[in-house]
Amino acid sequence: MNTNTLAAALVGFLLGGLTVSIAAQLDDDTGDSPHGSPAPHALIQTLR
Amino acid sequence: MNHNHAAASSDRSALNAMAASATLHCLTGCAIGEILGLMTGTALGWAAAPTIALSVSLAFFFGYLLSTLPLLQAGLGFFAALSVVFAADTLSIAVMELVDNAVMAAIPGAMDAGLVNPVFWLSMMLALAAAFVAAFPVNRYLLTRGKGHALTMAAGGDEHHGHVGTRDHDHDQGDAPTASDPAGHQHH
Repeated sequence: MNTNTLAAALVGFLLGGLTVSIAAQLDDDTGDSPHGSPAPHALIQTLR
Repeated sequence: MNHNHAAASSDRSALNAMAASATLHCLTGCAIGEILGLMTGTALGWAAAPTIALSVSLAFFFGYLLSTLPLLQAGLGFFAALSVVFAADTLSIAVMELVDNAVMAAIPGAMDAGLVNPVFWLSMMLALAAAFVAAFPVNRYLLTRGKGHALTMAAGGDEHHGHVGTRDHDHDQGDAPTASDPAGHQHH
């Protein structure tokens, strides 16, 4: 396989990982917990 | 006079392009191992030291592998290809790994950030970019000395350098770049 193709695939993989991680974090931040109660991730962190 | 200046400038830019290509080639192999190692260590919750050890090992393995395969395809024996690759790539990979892991370790929380943390991915991008910048002058220096990827190219594994300078259709063996002929041009 051509090196440039591999390098492009790696860049794509890194950008994909970044996108997924940002999406996961946004999902955590805007969790659908009711007003006044802790978000699910906050609860898990507290329990730890 | 002007012709000499233009030729020197052309050789310099050809050398830079070759060094960039060699660095990218090296970095690709390194990055595959590095990413695999960091992801494994992070996913398994390992400490920084074993994670870095795994990453460095895998980076060397994939770095060598990526350089060895074209040589094997070019007809070189396994051990002959391996000895060329060891001589050509070791310094470049070592510099990359040193800088890459130093940057990862220096960014607060990068090694402890999980795979779903953007800090992990951004740190890795920054570390790999820093590794490229650090390894470029090393590869450039090695090429001017007829070492580094010049050895791989001389051995016939130069498929990734085909676009550089006047070498587009020039795959003769033994025309590796030297200090006096950094682009490996054939003067007639």
